Amino acid sequence: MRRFYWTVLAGFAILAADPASADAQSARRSTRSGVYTEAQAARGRDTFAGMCQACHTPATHTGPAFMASWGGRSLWELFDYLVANMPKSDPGSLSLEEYAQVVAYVLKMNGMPAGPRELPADEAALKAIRLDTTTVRFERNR
Amino acid sequence: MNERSESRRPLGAAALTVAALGLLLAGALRSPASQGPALVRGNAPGEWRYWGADAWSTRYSPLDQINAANFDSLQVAWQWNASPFGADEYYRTTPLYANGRLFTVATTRRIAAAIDPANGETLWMWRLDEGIRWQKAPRQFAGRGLAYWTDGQAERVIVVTPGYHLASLDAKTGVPDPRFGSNGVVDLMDGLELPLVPLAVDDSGPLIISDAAPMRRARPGETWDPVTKTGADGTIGIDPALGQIAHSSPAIVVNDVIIVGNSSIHGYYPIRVRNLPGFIRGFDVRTGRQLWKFNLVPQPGEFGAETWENGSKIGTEGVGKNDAWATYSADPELGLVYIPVGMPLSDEYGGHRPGNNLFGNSLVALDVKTGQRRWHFQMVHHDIWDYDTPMAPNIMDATINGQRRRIVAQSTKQGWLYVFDRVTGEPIWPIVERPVLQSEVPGEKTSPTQPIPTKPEPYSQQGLEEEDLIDYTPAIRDSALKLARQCRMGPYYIPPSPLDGSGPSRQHCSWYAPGASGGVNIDGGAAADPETGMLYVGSITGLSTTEVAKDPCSEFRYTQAPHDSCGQLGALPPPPGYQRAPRAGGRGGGPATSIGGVSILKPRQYGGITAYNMNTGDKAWWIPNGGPVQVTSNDPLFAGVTLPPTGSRGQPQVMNTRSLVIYGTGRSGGPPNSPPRLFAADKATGRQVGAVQIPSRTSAVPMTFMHQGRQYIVFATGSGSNTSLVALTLPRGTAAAGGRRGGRGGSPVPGGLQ
Repeated sequence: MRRFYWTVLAGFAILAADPASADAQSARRSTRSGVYTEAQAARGRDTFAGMCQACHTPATHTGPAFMASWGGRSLWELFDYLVANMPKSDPGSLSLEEYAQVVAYVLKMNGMPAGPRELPADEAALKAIRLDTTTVRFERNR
Repeated sequence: MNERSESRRPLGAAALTVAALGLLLAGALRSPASQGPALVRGNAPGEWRYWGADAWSTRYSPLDQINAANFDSLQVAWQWNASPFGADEYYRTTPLYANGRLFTVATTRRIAAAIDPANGETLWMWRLDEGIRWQKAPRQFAGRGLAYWTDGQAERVIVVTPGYHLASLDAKTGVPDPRFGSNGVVDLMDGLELPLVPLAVDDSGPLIISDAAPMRRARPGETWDPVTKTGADGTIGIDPALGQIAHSSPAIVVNDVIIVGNSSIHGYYPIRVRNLPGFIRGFDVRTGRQLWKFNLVPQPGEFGAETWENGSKIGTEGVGKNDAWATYSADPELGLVYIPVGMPLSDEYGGHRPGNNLFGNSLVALDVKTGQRRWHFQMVHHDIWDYDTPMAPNIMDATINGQRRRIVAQSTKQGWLYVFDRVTGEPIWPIVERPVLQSEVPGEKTSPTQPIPTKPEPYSQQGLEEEDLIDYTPAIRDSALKLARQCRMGPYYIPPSPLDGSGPSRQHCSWYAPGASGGVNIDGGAAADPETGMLYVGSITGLSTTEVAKDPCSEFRYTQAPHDSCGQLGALPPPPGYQRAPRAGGRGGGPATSIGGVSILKPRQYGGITAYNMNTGDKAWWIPNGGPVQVTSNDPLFAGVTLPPTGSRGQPQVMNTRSLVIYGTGRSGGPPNSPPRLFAADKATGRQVGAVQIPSRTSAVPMTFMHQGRQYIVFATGSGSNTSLVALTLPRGTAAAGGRRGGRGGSPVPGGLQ
């Protein structure tokens, strides 16, 4: 029980000490809390197939390389980057809703759970969500 | 021999009579079979037998049942859903209509299907299992379409698959023709004089842009592991050590010859500095026998080989691509096929391939029967801008300076039309070699000049100079100029800058207009009007930047920045001391191209649809794609200033009929927040005469045909697991009096036919 207690405390300490940007420090919601809907990610998958897949297979936006670039940052940074730069052939050509659903699909690909509400294409709301990289493990007994 | 010749003389007259009778008889027996409709440019008027409607790629139909008066009453007749057959990227196919059937390809497998045009039912479907060759196909999507052939009796549908097989299917049944190739299929990896080996994969995913995670030669005795889906599955193909070959646009059938080219890997972020080149081949339409081959990278001893200064032999460093991946056009009377050729290997850096790199970025006219080059013209020397020739050229007849001329007009990414006499290759209006900016990237040797058309005027923003900037007030002009000077400026063909700013100008970015999507690109293109000599060019206009840097795990000294292939299957191992650079905060990429949401480019009549009168080479009219976009800004810089509207995004997808230019906005096109629509404009003036709502945006050029007395418009739409063909037609009872009912074939069209 004691070990469990200290592990949880340590876990919270790690979370609190996340060395990400100032935005992320103030971000309250984690992407592990379910920040998009399944239906939204499904639309995002079709948008990805239509607009992104010619250059990026889905696999290139998952795993350690992706997390190294975006982990710990607010979703607004990823969203804003996509709007400014993607698709490479015609940056900014998607609707804001389409960018949001692509982000939802990327989250789904990275194992983030779905939730009851769609990811909004809104700066303030996206700044308040952090791309979570941590896993808290609970050790029971020994 | 003597006996025969002696005996021939008395029988001569009789022999001639018999022969004549025989011919008459043969003619009489043949006439029902060849009694199909009279063909114009290879197409039956009112049908759409080629990707571009006819062999000339006019995208023209003489039909007029759908016209300005009734366009807005168009409704969805049926929608054919491709998702039961699989997923796709975005659906970029223009289907065909021939002799009562609609034909299409669909999904990443490029299945072929025939559809009943009256109700959207699937008549037949064909699919080829290509194993690893499909899994690692560089262009794994449905592609732009397929081809049709008939001799008046037999009908065939010709498909080239993602894994590079050529199939000839009975158009009535979808059954592969047993007399063609091997059970209806020709292996296109054969016949290139390249070694074929058993293939294997080390992962279960597709090829990763551009050439990461490729397939490889199988080890002796290697087998397939069905659990991990890796190993050797029994397929053979060109030794992957030489590179990748692909296919994405329909073959063209002319004078009983199937002309097939190839596509390649994407040219951005390549890892390997050698790859397969482009080829054009002719095949007998009845047997599939290969008739000829033309090398788009001239091999040693061939014309143009010296334009590859390090050598052009397959396997040489820097050699690869020059793939003619777009659609082709042909003149059946002249017996010539016109091939638009893509660029050489590596989009933004040519340091490994000094020289002009023929036949990259060229229009090449080949003899259909022999594959001999009649003429060619290279539109970009030593391309480093990703300016592939992206579209079938438009064949037209025009009256220029009082003379009837046979011309061919090539639309391009770089914003110009290049217009030639299609018999001789002579430019109709002068194309002048002019000095251009030189690259500051180490090892790069840019061409000192580029050929610049003097006419017609461009349809897209080119380069960036002071006069292109917004200047509504002195403050606006100063801000725009300050932003513009952050990157290398010029009139056109500004070479990419080294990202580290190590060149003499200290610039670390270059303005890039048109960008890699044009100008014109394959999703849009031009429709030609054979009645009037007008050419309707759909294009985009815009501004971005281009810079190159070292990808630590690529063989190239420089590639499009920033990019890091390290860790990908097939990439070079990371160099000693390598650490993946953390992403800098902020938006990344080049500088912004707008201030307060307002582009620094002053809006001009660029992009959208530009109508050219090809009898004079002058612009006739211009309209934005789906309508103008009002521009506002909260930035105090623009306080009190009324900002002019801009055109909207996306490649317009244009066809033309007896009275109308009909177009879709493209999958990301039209004004923001506008519903998906199909538009009609008066051909002569560009005035919008119709705009009908459609289920979703067009994702490829639409087509039209007459079936059982009703005119249909069909277009592809959607992406991913949600692709379909949509058919529009007029409500029953509103058809014009000229339409006829009954019969399965295309009905005769009233009035003069073109």
